Amino acid sequence: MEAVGKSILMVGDYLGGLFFLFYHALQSMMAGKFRRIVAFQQMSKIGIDSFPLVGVISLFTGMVMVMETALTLKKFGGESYVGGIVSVTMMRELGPVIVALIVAGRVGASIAAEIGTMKITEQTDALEVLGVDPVAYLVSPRLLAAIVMLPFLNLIANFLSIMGGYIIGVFLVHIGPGAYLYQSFQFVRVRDVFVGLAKAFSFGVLIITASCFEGFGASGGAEGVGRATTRAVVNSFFLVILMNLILTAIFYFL
Amino acid sequence: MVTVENLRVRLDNREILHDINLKVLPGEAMVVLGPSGSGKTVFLKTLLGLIKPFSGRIILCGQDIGKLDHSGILALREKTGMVFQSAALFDSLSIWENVGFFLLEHTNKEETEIRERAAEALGAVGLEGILDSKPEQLSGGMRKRVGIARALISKPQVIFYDEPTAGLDVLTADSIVRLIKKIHSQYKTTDVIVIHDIALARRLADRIAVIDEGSIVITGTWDEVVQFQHPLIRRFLSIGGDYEETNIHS
Repeated sequence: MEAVGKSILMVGDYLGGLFFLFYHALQSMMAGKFRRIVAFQQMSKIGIDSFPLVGVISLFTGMVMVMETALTLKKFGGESYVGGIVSVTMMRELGPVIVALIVAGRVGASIAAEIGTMKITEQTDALEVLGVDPVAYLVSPRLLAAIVMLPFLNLIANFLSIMGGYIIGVFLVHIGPGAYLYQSFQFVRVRDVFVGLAKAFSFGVLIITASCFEGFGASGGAEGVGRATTRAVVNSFFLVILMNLILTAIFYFL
Repeated sequence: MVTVENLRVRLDNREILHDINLKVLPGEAMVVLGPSGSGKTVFLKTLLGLIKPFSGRIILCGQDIGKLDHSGILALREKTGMVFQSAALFDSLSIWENVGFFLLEHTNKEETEIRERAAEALGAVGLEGILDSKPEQLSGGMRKRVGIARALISKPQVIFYDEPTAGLDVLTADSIVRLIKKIHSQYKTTDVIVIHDIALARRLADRIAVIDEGSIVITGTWDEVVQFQHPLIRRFLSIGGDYEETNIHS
């Protein structure tokens, strides 16, 4: 019982820490107290540098989804619906989750390692001594970059996964090109696109907040930075999946 | 210049500093001497406002730091400089950006002017031609010097040093000690130097405050400290004796 109580307190403490870090970073962001140049650099790091990986994985995921879905739908003679099912699933679910997991693995780990190293080499203390708020300097530009670039990556992932599905649907499953595209967009509503974008936005906030939080919490030399990096990735993955569940439930009922 | 009254600091429900009282006079070099884990770095970070005290008062340049708002803190930061143990240079910035960081962030001065000021500060610590280098390209001693130049750029009244010779070989450490003494006399700064080496303490200090297990044991001149009968001071002297004989030449 005591252990359960302790675990609940730890989770509450962790989530509270995330919330306050996010709130602090958001306040600084809204007040414009961050370096624009760092925000642009981070946009390049999060968005442009993640693009090849997001592109290839989305393309392949679209292909795999069409093959798997077609296999099942063929039994009912419904393979022409493949395009629609894959498009909606990618836009609402898989697109934002795939993008988030890639960014969490690539960028979240790097952010936690960078801030963790700054923490143990006293660079975050130096910022404070030089009159600069470390959260405004380090978290706000990354937060802005993520909330701009994750929805953008999500749109690219949607497009490429539909293209991947199109290639397999047309050349392997032998659905007519026009029919495939028609089906792909027949079931997709503007609302589906916005659901995906809202998810990507939320995942961006979570990944940056969780990664920066772990970086600031790093202690104990290089080993401590390694631990912080691992925690940043694992926690980001978990939070993304949990938030996806919550948002899917909300959008289901809305 | 620096007054500490009844300072107590608690971290993780444990009292680290117990009822510290210390007065550093203008233009004085005060060395805070203590072994690892004695609380001297916590003390320094509390003086800098990086750790909030549990109770007590810190008066820096005539101002109670606990009562200052953001702009007051910023104004105070300009009057103080800090040299970190690891130099704490920002890896992503060039040397001139590191040195001119305070001016870049808090003034509207042109970059060319800040670059000139950075070159001037670097010249004062004996470094030239490295304005556009990155911290990773420098040796440990050079990084320390850049850290001192960064502290100097706003022409501070008080400079805090945290273990300024840590991790350096004997010759480089000696050059850093000479530099600190030169800056102290040239810029007429008040220095608070946290250190664990009694021989270096003797070279740098006008007065020494010996800290042990979170309490100040004695504050006084070198002669007063060595006369004081305390097991920690005896231990320091017995270990530092040989080193003293061969290295104390300022």
